[in-house]
Formats: sequence, C-alpha cells, structure tokens
Amino acid sequence: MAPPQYKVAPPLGRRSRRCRLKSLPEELVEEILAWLPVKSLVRFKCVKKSWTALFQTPNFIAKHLRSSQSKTKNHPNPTLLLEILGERSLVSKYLLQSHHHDEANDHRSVYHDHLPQYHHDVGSVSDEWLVLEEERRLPFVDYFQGENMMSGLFTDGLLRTNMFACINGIICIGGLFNCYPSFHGFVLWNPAIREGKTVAYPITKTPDFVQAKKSFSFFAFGYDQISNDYKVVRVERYTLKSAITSYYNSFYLYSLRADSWTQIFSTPFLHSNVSVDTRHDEIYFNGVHHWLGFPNEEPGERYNNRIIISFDMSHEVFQIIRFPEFSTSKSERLAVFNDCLACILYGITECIDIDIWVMREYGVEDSWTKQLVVNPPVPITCPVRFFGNGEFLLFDKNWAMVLYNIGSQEIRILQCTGYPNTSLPLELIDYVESLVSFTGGNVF
Amino acid sequence: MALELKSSDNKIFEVEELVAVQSETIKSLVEDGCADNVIPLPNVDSKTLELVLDWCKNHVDMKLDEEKLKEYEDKFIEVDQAVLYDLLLAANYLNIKDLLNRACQKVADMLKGKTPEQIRETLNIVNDFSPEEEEEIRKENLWAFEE
Repeated sequence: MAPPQYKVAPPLGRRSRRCRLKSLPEELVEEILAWLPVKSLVRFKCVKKSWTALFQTPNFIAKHLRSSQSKTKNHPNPTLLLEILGERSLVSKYLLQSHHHDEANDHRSVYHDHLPQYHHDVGSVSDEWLVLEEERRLPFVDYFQGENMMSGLFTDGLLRTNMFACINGIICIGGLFNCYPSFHGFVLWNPAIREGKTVAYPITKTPDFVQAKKSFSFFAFGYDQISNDYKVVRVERYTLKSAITSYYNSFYLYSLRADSWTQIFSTPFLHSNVSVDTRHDEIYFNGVHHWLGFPNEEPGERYNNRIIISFDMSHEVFQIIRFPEFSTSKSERLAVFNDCLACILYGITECIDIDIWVMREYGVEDSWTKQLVVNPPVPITCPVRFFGNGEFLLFDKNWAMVLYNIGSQEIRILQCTGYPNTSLPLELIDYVESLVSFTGGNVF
Repeated sequence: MALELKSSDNKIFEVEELVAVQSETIKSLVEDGCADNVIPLPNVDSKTLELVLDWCKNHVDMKLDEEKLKEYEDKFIEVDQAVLYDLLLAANYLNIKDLLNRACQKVADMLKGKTPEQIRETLNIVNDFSPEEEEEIRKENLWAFEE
C-alpha cells in the first residue's frame, strides 16, 4: 500500500503528539498570529526577524484588524471609549471594558447597594464595567516620553473638545489643550501599540472678499479605505454681514499620509446656507461622516426637519441626505442599526415611544423606513446607540447608562467603577485594538 | 444530492452536498464537475473528517440560530492539542473559513501569554537575532513584558 501523501510533514508517532505545533506551515502560523492581542504581538517582535517585518506589513495589519473586529462583534460586551464632562468642566476620557460577573474579580457584591431606583418585574441586573486603564484616564503622559509639551498637554486637561473619535484602533481627540503654550489641534493615538502624534489646526483666515464673522467650526475624523489614509476635515462657518443673513463655509482637509492640510475650494457647500447643529449630533458610518444640520435659513422660514450633511472621506465630497417628513416634535439622533444608517426619534417628556427609522439603501432617500417602535419602561434623557445583539443603550433621567433589550424588554443598568458617577457622559464609541501605525509619515 | 468522501485511512463518508460544500475545496470540485466519484482526501484521517463533517452539518442546521451555533462552536473547539492541530490542518486544506478562524483563535489563546522563548520552543523557531538586537527590541517595548 502506497504511503499517504501529505502537504506538510507526516504526522509523528503518538509520543510526539505534543510537539506537533512545531511543524505548522508558515501560512497557518500567520493566520494564528492575526488572532493574538496586540500586547502579545509586540512581545513577539523579538522572536524572529521575519515576524518583526510581518507585523509591519499592511496586509498583516489589516488581517489583524479584521480579527480584532470580528472578536468584538461576537463579544457580548464590547470595549467602549467614553468621553465625559467632569469636575471643573474638564473633559476626561475613559476606556471601558466590561467584566462578566463570572470572572475572578467579581465586583458585583461591592455594588449591591447601588441598585437602581426603579426595579420592575422585568428585572434589572447590574453589570460591571471596569475602567481599563489604571489611572482612570487615558494616560497620554506616559506615552509621550521625552516630549515635554505633550506631557503638559494632558495632565492639565482639555479645555474644550471639538473632536472625539476612534477608527481602526486609532483614537482622535481634538480641541484646545490647557497647557503652556496652549495647543489647538488634535492628537492621534493608538493605545495598543503606544504610538501617538499631534497635529496643530491650521490658522484659518477669514475670507476677505466680504465682511464675515466666524460663527462655528466643526470637525470630523475618518478613514479613506481607497488610499488607506486617515483624514480630518475642518469646516469653518462664517456669517456674512449683509442685508440678508447668509453663510460661507471654509473647508480644510488633513491627510495623515501627506501629513499636511489643504483647503478645499471646489464644493457647492462654499456658499451654502446649510449649517451643522451641534457637535454631538453626528456619526461616522461606512467611511462617511454624517452631521445633523439645518437647511437654508431664509428670513421668516422655519424648518422642523433637520437634514444630514455628509462628508465622504474617500471622495472628499459633501452631500445632503434628507429625511422623510417625520411630522413630529421629537428630537432626532443618528445611529447605526443593523448595519444601516438610522435615525432615532425620541421625546424628551416621559415614556414616549421611540421611533427607529432606517435608511435601507444607503444614499437612497426613498428607502427611509420606519423599522420599529420601542418603548423602554424607564424615563430616558436620550438614546445613544445600538449593539448587535438587540440591545439599545440609553441615558436615563440621571444620565446613567442603561441597556434595554428590545426583544426581551429587559433593562440593565451599567455601573461603571472607577469614574465619578456625577459626571456627564458625552460620547460613547467603539474601540477595537489594532496594530495600525503612523509614525514617520507612513500609514500602515 | 449526496457526495462520497474518502479519508486518508480509506474510510468512506456519505455526505449531503449542502454540508460538504462548506468546504471551498470540495465546492470547487463540485463546480468543476469532478465530484461524481468518490472524492479522496489524503490529508485528512477519518477521526478528523468525522469531526469536520459534524461542524459542517451543524453549520447548515443551525444557520439561523446564532446563539445555539455559538454554543456549539464553543463546545466543539474544546479539544486537546493533538486534535486541535489536526482540525487546524484539515480546515486549512479543506478551506472551511469559519472552522479555520475558530481553530486559529483557539491556538492563539494558547500562545498569547507566552514569552518569546516559549514561543520559539513551541513552534520550533530558531532565533535569528543577535543578543544585542534582541535586547534593543525588548527595551523599546518593555511595557509588553509587564503584567
């Protein structure tokens, strides 16, 4: 009988079974490495030279990111970045990760007293979310060793944030930093590999063709998957002093690959009267940043419906997406629902239905559909976002984070240990760890 | 429509086409019209093939029940190293993406806490760094070696 053919080394005898990993083909080793946490990979940089090189290739980094994202998708409790307004109006950021209550560190007993006030027959379970970073704030200081300006940046805190986002494991925080000299710009930071970079905002010039006064700025951080580039767009809105109030918008775009800012002129938005509302009515989805805003403000006209202003990071264009006629006085909030762009309509008085509208086909205004109506049993301040497992995150009347399971109608209060509960949560975004690196002008 | 698969130790398995085509390798054979006779799988023994086919069948049966599938997958992958190794190679050879991912994840879990020396030992890797070079890399990334 002919011996069996094998693609790899033939199996060894029974006694060598535990050594079998020794003969894994290279391609499989690479597949396995892509599932390792970043900390392990950094440690394994010194295993052999080809590995050090491998961990820096765009292919491997992308593969690892996909694994990271897939792990998060299947995990019932993802890691979130939380931005809160704390004491003395300083904005702090916390990295949160949930701990299952069956893990070794069971903190539930400690918080037995902190059960929520409303305990319905639907049952409330307290879930523990622990602050991931030791110092309870994202410790930028350690990661910028030797850069005195940087360490001053974060110990003194941010006075005003105008950007807070996280894409592919890179956190982007922009604003006015309270240090000496003060720094107005943004920080790109990958906490998993401890790499950071600061970029100052450009000095913007008021357009001199007409008397204009700057009224508003808004920012967005995004990823261009066509050119594998990270970008920041900055919009300055000017009010033009004339008989009729009108607006002029100036646009600046930063590219990480080019490590520079350019001003965009070719856009119909230049003289548009479209205006973005406030910073927190926004969402990044599918490589496009979306803000809620208002259409033209003709004197005497009032619009009930807001519109979406979107910026496509790859094609670098602005577009408007309109909502259907909602005929309601409810507030809108953008979200992602079942991998589609969605709009949550909610009331600010107690226990009103929450309508969830979904844009079934992205970009097609006719495809807006009222997907479902939910009615959580607790009074809420505002909705935040959806999780894949049918859970809906909301802020209740006390600004506590509440998870409402749409299917089972169960309510869970998220207790966060490690950050002061009196703080006002502003923004909650997903975090996945990645190897994406951006030093030396390269983006990997 | 049933297919016949033959393991390396000459055992024949009769499988529904829907189940077998979870393997991209087998799927290609079917699409190319090469699946009329028994399909020989010289790289997979019967013990492993039986497990793999169980995975495939359950993925067809439980396709719509994500929770149940996850429970099945978690239990399935709790095997000893030798079996895991066989599953890994079989999933790679048969090109069954979700099994491959799951098996790789499991192996990764086993490796993640190890030191570089232990990794070299486990995977039979020769260290091609000079002691100075290795020391430099360690120094740059000291935090990764701490708890």
